[in-house]
Amino acid sequence: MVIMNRGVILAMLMLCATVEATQFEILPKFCLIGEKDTCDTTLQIQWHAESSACLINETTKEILRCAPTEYAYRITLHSKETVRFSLIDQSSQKVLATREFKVLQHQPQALQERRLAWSIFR
Amino acid sequence: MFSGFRHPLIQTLLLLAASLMAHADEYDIAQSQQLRWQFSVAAGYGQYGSMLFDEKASNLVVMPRWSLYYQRFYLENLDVGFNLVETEHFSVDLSGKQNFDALSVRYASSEDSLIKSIAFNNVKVPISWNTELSEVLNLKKRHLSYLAGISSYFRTDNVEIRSEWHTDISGVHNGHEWNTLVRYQYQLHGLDLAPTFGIRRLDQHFANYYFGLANSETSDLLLNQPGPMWLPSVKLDASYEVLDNLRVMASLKREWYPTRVTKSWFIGTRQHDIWFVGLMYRW
Repeated sequence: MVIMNRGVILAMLMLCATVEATQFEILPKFCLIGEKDTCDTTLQIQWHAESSACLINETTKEILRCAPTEYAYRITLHSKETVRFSLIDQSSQKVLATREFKVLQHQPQALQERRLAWSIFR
Repeated sequence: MFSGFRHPLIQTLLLLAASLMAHADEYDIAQSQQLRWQFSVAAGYGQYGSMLFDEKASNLVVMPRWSLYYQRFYLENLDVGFNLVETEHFSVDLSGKQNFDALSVRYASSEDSLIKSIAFNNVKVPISWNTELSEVLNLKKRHLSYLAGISSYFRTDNVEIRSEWHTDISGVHNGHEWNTLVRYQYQLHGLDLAPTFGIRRLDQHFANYYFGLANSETSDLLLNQPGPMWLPSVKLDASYEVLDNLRVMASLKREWYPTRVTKSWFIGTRQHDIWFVGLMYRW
Protein backbone atom coordinates (compact mmCIF):
# COMPACT_ATOMS: atom_id res chain seq x y z
CA MET A 1 0.00 0.00 0.00
CA VAL A 2 2.76 2.35 1.00
CA ILE A 3 4.72 1.36 -2.11
CA MET A 4 1.69 2.02 -4.31
CA ASN A 5 1.17 5.43 -2.79
CA ARG A 6 4.78 6.29 -3.41
CA GLY A 7 4.40 5.10 -6.98
CA VAL A 8 1.35 7.27 -7.51
CA ILE A 9 3.06 10.28 -6.03
CA LEU A 10 6.11 9.70 -8.17
CA ALA A 11 3.98 9.42 -11.29
CA MET A 12 2.18 12.65 -10.41
CA LEU A 13 5.46 14.44 -9.87
CA MET A 14 6.74 13.18 -13.19
CA LEU A 15 3.54 14.27 -14.90
CA CYS A 16 3.88 17.73 -13.39
CA ALA A 17 7.45 17.87 -14.51
CA THR A 18 6.41 16.89 -18.05
CA VAL A 19 3.64 19.47 -18.17
CA GLU A 20 5.91 22.19 -16.92
CA ALA A 21 8.54 21.27 -19.47
CA THR A 22 6.03 21.75 -22.28
CA GLN A 23 4.88 25.22 -23.16
CA PHE A 24 1.84 25.46 -25.32
CA GLU A 25 0.01 28.69 -26.01
CA ILE A 26 -2.83 29.74 -28.26
CA LEU A 27 -3.72 33.36 -28.93
CA PRO A 28 -6.34 34.66 -28.86
CA LYS A 29 -8.06 32.42 -26.37
CA PHE A 30 -11.63 33.52 -26.96
CA CYS A 31 -13.91 34.56 -29.76
CA LEU A 32 -17.29 36.16 -29.11
CA ILE A 33 -19.85 35.73 -31.87
CA GLY A 34 -23.51 36.45 -32.47
CA GLU A 35 -26.19 33.80 -32.31
CA LYS A 36 -25.92 32.72 -35.94
CA ASP A 37 -22.37 33.87 -36.71
CA THR A 38 -19.15 31.97 -37.26
CA CYS A 39 -15.87 32.88 -35.68
CA ASP A 40 -13.34 33.69 -38.41
CA THR A 41 -9.95 34.42 -36.96
CA THR A 42 -6.27 33.66 -37.21
CA LEU A 43 -4.79 31.83 -34.28
CA GLN A 44 -1.17 32.07 -33.25
CA ILE A 45 -0.05 28.80 -31.77
CA GLN A 46 3.34 28.38 -30.15
CA TRP A 47 4.84 25.48 -28.32
CA HIS A 48 8.03 24.34 -26.76
CA ALA A 49 8.51 20.67 -26.03
CA GLU A 50 11.45 18.53 -25.11
CA SER A 51 11.12 16.42 -28.24
CA SER A 52 9.29 16.49 -31.54
CA ALA A 53 5.61 17.16 -31.08
CA CYS A 54 2.51 17.29 -33.20
CA LEU A 55 -0.38 19.73 -32.99
CA ILE A 56 -3.78 18.10 -33.29
CA ASN A 57 -7.18 19.66 -33.70
CA GLU A 58 -9.12 17.45 -31.31
CA THR A 59 -12.42 18.61 -32.69
CA THR A 60 -11.69 17.40 -36.23
CA LYS A 61 -8.99 14.86 -35.19
CA GLU A 62 -6.73 16.46 -37.78
CA ILE A 63 -2.94 16.57 -37.34
CA LEU A 64 -2.10 20.14 -38.15
CA ARG A 65 1.66 20.23 -37.83
CA CYS A 66 4.55 18.19 -36.45
CA ALA A 67 7.75 19.94 -35.58
CA PRO A 68 10.88 19.67 -33.49
CA THR A 69 11.01 21.11 -30.03
CA GLU A 70 9.88 24.67 -30.78
CA TYR A 71 7.40 25.96 -33.23
CA ALA A 72 5.19 28.94 -33.97
CA TYR A 73 2.22 28.36 -36.17
CA ARG A 74 -0.61 30.44 -37.59
CA ILE A 75 -3.91 28.94 -38.51
CA THR A 76 -7.06 30.50 -39.91
CA LEU A 77 -10.09 29.15 -38.17
CA HIS A 78 -13.78 29.18 -39.07
CA SER A 79 -15.83 27.72 -36.29
CA LYS A 80 -19.07 28.10 -34.42
CA GLU A 81 -17.85 25.94 -31.55
CA THR A 82 -15.01 25.80 -29.13
CA VAL A 83 -11.99 24.07 -30.67
CA ARG A 84 -9.71 21.91 -28.58
CA PHE A 85 -6.06 21.56 -29.55
CA SER A 86 -3.64 18.95 -28.24
CA LEU A 87 0.08 18.75 -28.42
CA ILE A 88 1.29 15.15 -28.51
CA ASP A 89 4.71 13.66 -28.35
CA GLN A 90 5.46 12.47 -31.86
CA SER A 91 7.16 9.25 -30.86
CA SER A 92 5.14 8.15 -27.85
CA GLN A 93 1.84 9.73 -28.96
CA LYS A 94 1.42 10.90 -25.38
CA VAL A 95 -0.61 14.03 -24.89
CA LEU A 96 1.72 16.72 -23.63
CA ALA A 97 -0.78 19.52 -23.26
CA THR A 98 -4.19 20.63 -24.40
CA ARG A 99 -5.62 24.08 -24.93
CA GLU A 100 -9.04 25.32 -25.91
CA PHE A 101 -9.92 28.16 -28.20
CA LYS A 102 -13.29 29.11 -26.81
CA VAL A 103 -16.01 30.28 -29.14
CA LEU A 104 -18.60 32.05 -27.02
CA GLN A 105 -21.98 32.83 -28.42
CA HIS A 106 -23.54 36.08 -27.39
CA GLN A 107 -26.91 34.95 -26.14
CA PRO A 108 -29.89 37.06 -27.11
CA GLN A 109 -31.49 39.00 -24.29
CA ALA A 110 -34.50 37.52 -22.60
CA LEU A 111 -37.81 38.61 -24.02
CA GLN A 112 -38.97 42.10 -23.32
CA GLU A 113 -41.83 42.20 -20.88
CA ARG A 114 -45.20 41.84 -22.51
CA ARG A 115 -46.99 43.68 -19.74
CA LEU A 116 -46.06 46.50 -17.45
CA ALA A 117 -44.69 45.01 -14.25
CA TRP A 118 -46.86 47.27 -12.12
CA SER A 119 -50.07 47.01 -14.10
CA ILE A 120 -52.61 44.56 -12.79
CA PHE A 121 -55.18 44.63 -15.60
CA ARG A 122 -54.41 43.26 -19.00
CA MET B 1 -64.67 24.77 -20.36
CA PHE B 2 -61.18 23.67 -21.34
CA SER B 3 -62.31 20.59 -23.23
CA GLY B 4 -61.30 22.32 -26.44
CA PHE B 5 -57.57 21.94 -25.77
CA ARG B 6 -57.54 19.47 -28.64
CA HIS B 7 -57.40 22.56 -30.80
CA PRO B 8 -54.32 22.33 -33.08
CA LEU B 9 -53.08 25.81 -32.18
CA ILE B 10 -52.82 25.16 -28.46
CA GLN B 11 -51.36 21.74 -29.14
CA THR B 12 -48.61 23.40 -31.12
CA LEU B 13 -48.07 25.90 -28.34
CA LEU B 14 -47.82 23.20 -25.69
CA LEU B 15 -45.51 21.07 -27.81
CA LEU B 16 -43.22 23.99 -28.41
CA ALA B 17 -43.12 24.74 -24.70
CA ALA B 18 -42.47 21.07 -23.85
CA SER B 19 -39.70 20.91 -26.42
CA LEU B 20 -38.15 23.99 -24.87
CA MET B 21 -38.19 22.41 -21.42
CA ALA B 22 -36.80 19.10 -22.71
CA HIS B 23 -33.80 20.78 -24.22
CA ALA B 24 -33.13 23.09 -21.32
CA ASP B 25 -30.08 21.11 -20.18
CA GLU B 26 -28.36 21.75 -23.49
CA TYR B 27 -28.02 25.40 -22.77
CA ASP B 28 -25.20 26.97 -20.89
CA ILE B 29 -25.14 29.22 -17.88
CA ALA B 30 -25.52 32.35 -19.94
CA GLN B 31 -28.86 31.11 -21.20
CA SER B 32 -30.08 29.97 -17.83
CA GLN B 33 -29.70 33.55 -16.73
CA GLN B 34 -32.54 34.38 -19.05
CA LEU B 35 -34.97 32.98 -16.51
CA ARG B 36 -36.82 35.88 -14.96
CA TRP B 37 -39.78 35.68 -12.71
CA GLN B 38 -41.73 38.10 -10.62
CA PHE B 39 -44.51 37.86 -8.15
CA SER B 40 -46.49 40.86 -6.93
CA VAL B 41 -49.44 41.40 -4.72
CA ALA B 42 -51.50 44.54 -4.82
CA ALA B 43 -53.69 45.30 -1.83
CA GLY B 44 -56.17 48.13 -1.86
CA TYR B 45 -59.62 48.73 -3.21
CA GLY B 46 -61.18 48.62 -6.61
CA GLN B 47 -64.17 47.45 -8.54
CA TYR B 48 -64.84 45.14 -11.45
CA GLY B 49 -67.87 46.57 -13.13
CA SER B 50 -70.97 44.68 -14.08
CA MET B 51 -72.87 45.34 -17.27
CA LEU B 52 -76.00 43.68 -15.95
CA PHE B 53 -79.08 45.80 -15.45
CA ASP B 54 -79.23 47.20 -11.89
CA GLU B 55 -76.28 45.15 -10.73
CA LYS B 56 -73.47 46.43 -8.57
CA ALA B 57 -69.79 46.05 -9.37
CA SER B 58 -67.68 43.44 -7.60
CA ASN B 59 -65.16 44.66 -5.09
CA LEU B 60 -61.47 44.03 -5.63
CA VAL B 61 -59.24 43.99 -2.57
CA VAL B 62 -56.21 41.81 -3.26
CA MET B 63 -54.82 41.35 -6.74
CA PRO B 64 -51.97 38.89 -7.29
CA ARG B 65 -49.77 39.19 -10.31
CA TRP B 66 -47.03 36.89 -11.53
CA SER B 67 -44.86 36.53 -14.55
CA LEU B 68 -42.18 34.17 -15.74
CA TYR B 69 -39.92 34.54 -18.75
CA TYR B 70 -37.65 31.74 -19.87
CA GLN B 71 -35.93 32.01 -23.20
CA ARG B 72 -38.80 32.17 -25.69
CA PHE B 73 -41.53 31.18 -23.31
CA TYR B 74 -43.45 33.47 -21.01
CA LEU B 75 -46.29 33.38 -18.56
CA GLU B 76 -48.16 36.51 -17.48
CA ASN B 77 -50.84 35.57 -14.98
CA LEU B 78 -53.12 33.35 -17.06
CA ASP B 79 -51.63 34.43 -20.38
CA VAL B 80 -48.94 32.33 -22.01
CA GLY B 81 -46.75 32.98 -25.01
CA PHE B 82 -44.08 31.50 -27.15
CA ASN B 83 -41.94 33.96 -29.01
CA LEU B 84 -41.34 33.51 -32.72
CA VAL B 85 -39.59 36.77 -33.56
CA GLU B 86 -37.88 39.12 -31.13
CA THR B 87 -35.96 42.24 -32.04
CA GLU B 88 -35.45 45.45 -30.16
CA HIS B 89 -38.54 47.03 -31.71
CA PHE B 90 -40.62 44.13 -32.90
CA SER B 91 -41.96 40.86 -31.53
CA VAL B 92 -44.27 38.14 -32.74
CA ASP B 93 -45.59 35.50 -30.35
CA LEU B 94 -47.91 32.55 -30.35
CA SER B 95 -50.11 33.40 -27.42
CA GLY B 96 -52.89 32.16 -25.24
CA LYS B 97 -54.99 34.31 -22.96
CA GLN B 98 -57.84 34.10 -20.56
CA ASN B 99 -60.85 36.08 -21.66
CA PHE B 100 -62.82 37.75 -18.87
CA ASP B 101 -65.88 39.06 -20.73
CA ALA B 102 -68.01 36.51 -18.89
CA LEU B 103 -67.34 38.27 -15.59
CA SER B 104 -69.15 41.40 -16.67
CA VAL B 105 -72.38 39.58 -17.60
CA ARG B 106 -72.64 36.42 -15.56
CA TYR B 107 -73.67 37.13 -12.01
CA ALA B 108 -75.93 34.64 -10.28
CA SER B 109 -78.58 37.32 -10.48
CA SER B 110 -78.36 37.84 -14.23
CA GLU B 111 -81.86 36.47 -14.78
CA ASP B 112 -83.14 38.83 -12.09
CA SER B 113 -81.48 41.64 -14.05
CA LEU B 114 -83.36 40.53 -17.13
CA ILE B 115 -86.71 40.50 -15.31
CA LYS B 116 -86.09 43.88 -13.69
CA SER B 117 -85.02 45.38 -16.98
CA ILE B 118 -88.11 44.06 -18.76
CA ALA B 119 -90.26 45.62 -16.08
CA PHE B 120 -88.34 48.88 -15.89
CA ASN B 121 -88.20 49.37 -19.64
CA ASN B 122 -91.81 48.31 -20.03
CA VAL B 123 -90.87 45.69 -22.57
CA LYS B 124 -93.90 44.02 -24.10
CA VAL B 125 -93.59 40.27 -23.64
CA PRO B 126 -96.45 38.35 -25.23
CA ILE B 127 -97.14 35.66 -22.65
CA SER B 128 -100.41 34.24 -21.49
CA TRP B 129 -102.07 35.47 -18.29
CA ASN B 130 -101.45 32.32 -16.34
CA THR B 131 -97.72 32.19 -17.17
CA GLU B 132 -95.03 33.70 -14.97
CA LEU B 133 -92.39 35.73 -16.78
CA SER B 134 -89.64 33.69 -15.13
CA GLU B 135 -91.14 30.55 -16.72
CA VAL B 136 -90.38 31.72 -20.23
CA LEU B 137 -86.91 32.98 -19.38
CA ASN B 138 -83.99 30.65 -19.20
CA LEU B 139 -80.92 32.86 -19.21
CA LYS B 140 -77.82 30.71 -19.52
CA LYS B 141 -74.66 31.33 -17.60
CA ARG B 142 -71.92 32.89 -19.72
CA HIS B 143 -68.71 30.90 -19.30
CA LEU B 144 -65.17 32.14 -19.25
CA SER B 145 -63.28 31.28 -22.41
CA TYR B 146 -59.64 30.73 -23.21
CA LEU B 147 -58.25 32.06 -26.43
CA ALA B 148 -55.17 31.28 -28.48
CA GLY B 149 -53.66 33.02 -31.43
CA ILE B 150 -50.89 35.35 -32.42
CA SER B 151 -49.67 38.62 -30.92
CA SER B 152 -47.38 41.19 -32.45
CA TYR B 153 -45.68 44.11 -30.76
CA PHE B 154 -44.01 47.17 -32.13
CA ARG B 155 -42.22 49.41 -29.69
CA THR B 156 -40.10 52.48 -29.53
CA ASP B 157 -38.68 54.08 -26.38
CA ASN B 158 -42.03 55.17 -24.95
CA VAL B 159 -44.67 53.79 -27.24
CA GLU B 160 -45.87 50.26 -27.69
CA ILE B 161 -48.37 49.11 -30.30
CA ARG B 162 -49.78 45.67 -29.77
CA SER B 163 -52.04 43.87 -32.19
CA GLU B 164 -53.30 40.40 -31.50
CA TRP B 165 -55.74 37.95 -32.97
CA HIS B 166 -57.16 35.13 -30.88
CA THR B 167 -59.73 32.44 -31.33
CA ASP B 168 -61.66 30.50 -28.72
CA ILE B 169 -60.04 27.14 -27.99
CA SER B 170 -62.19 26.29 -25.02
CA GLY B 171 -65.26 25.47 -27.06
CA VAL B 172 -67.34 28.10 -25.27
CA HIS B 173 -68.39 30.31 -28.17
CA ASN B 174 -65.95 29.50 -31.02
CA GLY B 175 -65.54 33.19 -31.73
CA HIS B 176 -62.58 35.33 -32.66
CA GLU B 177 -61.21 38.52 -31.17
CA TRP B 178 -58.89 41.05 -32.69
CA ASN B 179 -57.38 43.53 -30.27
CA THR B 180 -55.14 46.50 -30.92
CA LEU B 181 -53.63 48.68 -28.22
CA VAL B 182 -51.42 51.73 -28.27
CA ARG B 183 -49.65 52.51 -25.02
CA TYR B 184 -47.55 55.50 -24.14
CA GLN B 185 -45.26 55.26 -21.14
CA TYR B 186 -44.09 58.30 -19.26
CA GLN B 187 -41.51 58.11 -16.50
CA LEU B 188 -40.37 60.87 -14.20
CA HIS B 189 -38.28 60.01 -11.15
CA GLY B 190 -40.33 57.40 -9.34
CA LEU B 191 -43.56 58.14 -11.19
CA ASP B 192 -44.76 55.98 -14.06
CA LEU B 193 -47.77 56.82 -16.16
CA ALA B 194 -49.06 54.69 -18.98
CA PRO B 195 -52.22 55.65 -20.87
CA THR B 196 -53.42 53.00 -23.29
CA PHE B 197 -55.91 53.38 -26.10
CA GLY B 198 -57.40 50.26 -27.53
CA ILE B 199 -59.93 48.90 -29.92
CA ARG B 200 -61.24 45.38 -29.84
CA ARG B 201 -63.22 43.63 -32.52
CA LEU B 202 -65.44 40.70 -31.57
CA ASP B 203 -66.89 38.49 -34.24
CA GLN B 204 -70.56 37.54 -34.17
CA HIS B 205 -70.08 34.26 -32.28
CA PHE B 206 -68.08 35.98 -29.58
CA ALA B 207 -70.37 38.99 -29.28
CA ASN B 208 -73.63 37.08 -29.48
CA TYR B 209 -72.55 34.59 -26.82
CA TYR B 210 -71.71 37.16 -24.18
CA PHE B 211 -73.88 40.10 -25.10
CA GLY B 212 -76.78 38.60 -26.99
CA LEU B 213 -80.05 36.99 -26.03
CA ALA B 214 -80.67 33.68 -27.74
CA ASN B 215 -84.08 32.38 -28.76
CA SER B 216 -83.74 29.50 -26.32
CA GLU B 217 -83.19 31.92 -23.42
CA THR B 218 -86.43 33.82 -23.86
CA SER B 219 -88.72 31.26 -25.51
CA ASP B 220 -88.28 33.04 -28.87
CA LEU B 221 -89.70 36.25 -27.42
CA LEU B 222 -86.78 38.64 -26.94
CA LEU B 223 -84.11 37.60 -29.39
CA ASN B 224 -81.19 40.00 -29.70
CA GLN B 225 -78.04 39.10 -31.61
CA PRO B 226 -75.88 42.21 -31.60
CA GLY B 227 -73.44 40.70 -34.09
CA PRO B 228 -69.83 41.73 -34.69
CA MET B 229 -68.78 44.79 -32.73
CA TRP B 230 -65.95 47.26 -32.26
CA LEU B 231 -65.13 48.13 -28.67
CA PRO B 232 -62.94 51.17 -28.04
CA SER B 233 -61.25 51.46 -24.66
CA VAL B 234 -58.98 53.66 -22.59
CA LYS B 235 -56.82 52.60 -19.70
CA LEU B 236 -54.56 54.53 -17.39
CA ASP B 237 -51.93 52.86 -15.26
CA ALA B 238 -50.07 54.96 -12.74
CA SER B 239 -47.58 54.04 -10.09
CA TYR B 240 -45.14 55.73 -7.79
CA GLU B 241 -42.16 53.98 -6.25
CA VAL B 242 -42.26 54.37 -2.48
CA LEU B 243 -39.56 51.85 -1.58
CA ASP B 244 -37.44 49.47 -3.62
CA ASN B 245 -40.16 46.85 -4.01
CA LEU B 246 -43.17 48.86 -2.97
CA ARG B 247 -45.32 51.03 -5.20
CA VAL B 248 -48.47 53.01 -4.86
CA MET B 249 -50.44 52.14 -7.94
CA ALA B 250 -53.70 52.82 -9.68
CA SER B 251 -55.31 51.32 -12.76
CA LEU B 252 -58.49 52.44 -14.45
CA LYS B 253 -60.01 51.01 -17.58
CA ARG B 254 -63.18 51.81 -19.46
CA GLU B 255 -64.47 50.00 -22.52
CA TRP B 256 -67.44 51.13 -24.58
CA TYR B 257 -69.99 48.86 -26.22
CA PRO B 258 -72.44 49.59 -29.02
CA THR B 259 -75.92 50.67 -28.01
CA ARG B 260 -77.45 47.53 -29.46
CA VAL B 261 -76.09 45.39 -26.60
CA THR B 262 -78.63 47.02 -24.30
CA LYS B 263 -81.37 45.46 -26.42
CA SER B 264 -80.32 42.27 -24.70
CA TRP B 265 -82.44 43.36 -21.79
CA PHE B 266 -80.32 41.83 -19.07
CA ILE B 267 -77.57 44.31 -20.00
CA GLY B 268 -78.10 47.71 -18.46
CA THR B 269 -75.11 49.72 -19.57
CA ARG B 270 -72.95 50.06 -22.64
CA GLN B 271 -69.74 50.71 -20.82
CA HIS B 272 -67.60 48.54 -18.62
CA ASP B 273 -65.26 49.89 -15.96
CA ILE B 274 -62.49 48.33 -13.92
CA TRP B 275 -60.42 50.25 -11.43
CA PHE B 276 -58.08 49.57 -8.58
CA VAL B 277 -56.00 51.73 -6.25
CA GLY B 278 -53.57 50.31 -3.75
CA LEU B 279 -50.10 49.32 -2.74
CA MET B 280 -48.17 46.79 -4.76
CA TYR B 281 -45.33 44.78 -3.28
CA ARG B 282 -43.04 42.97 -5.66
CA TRP B 283 -40.77 39.97 -4.96
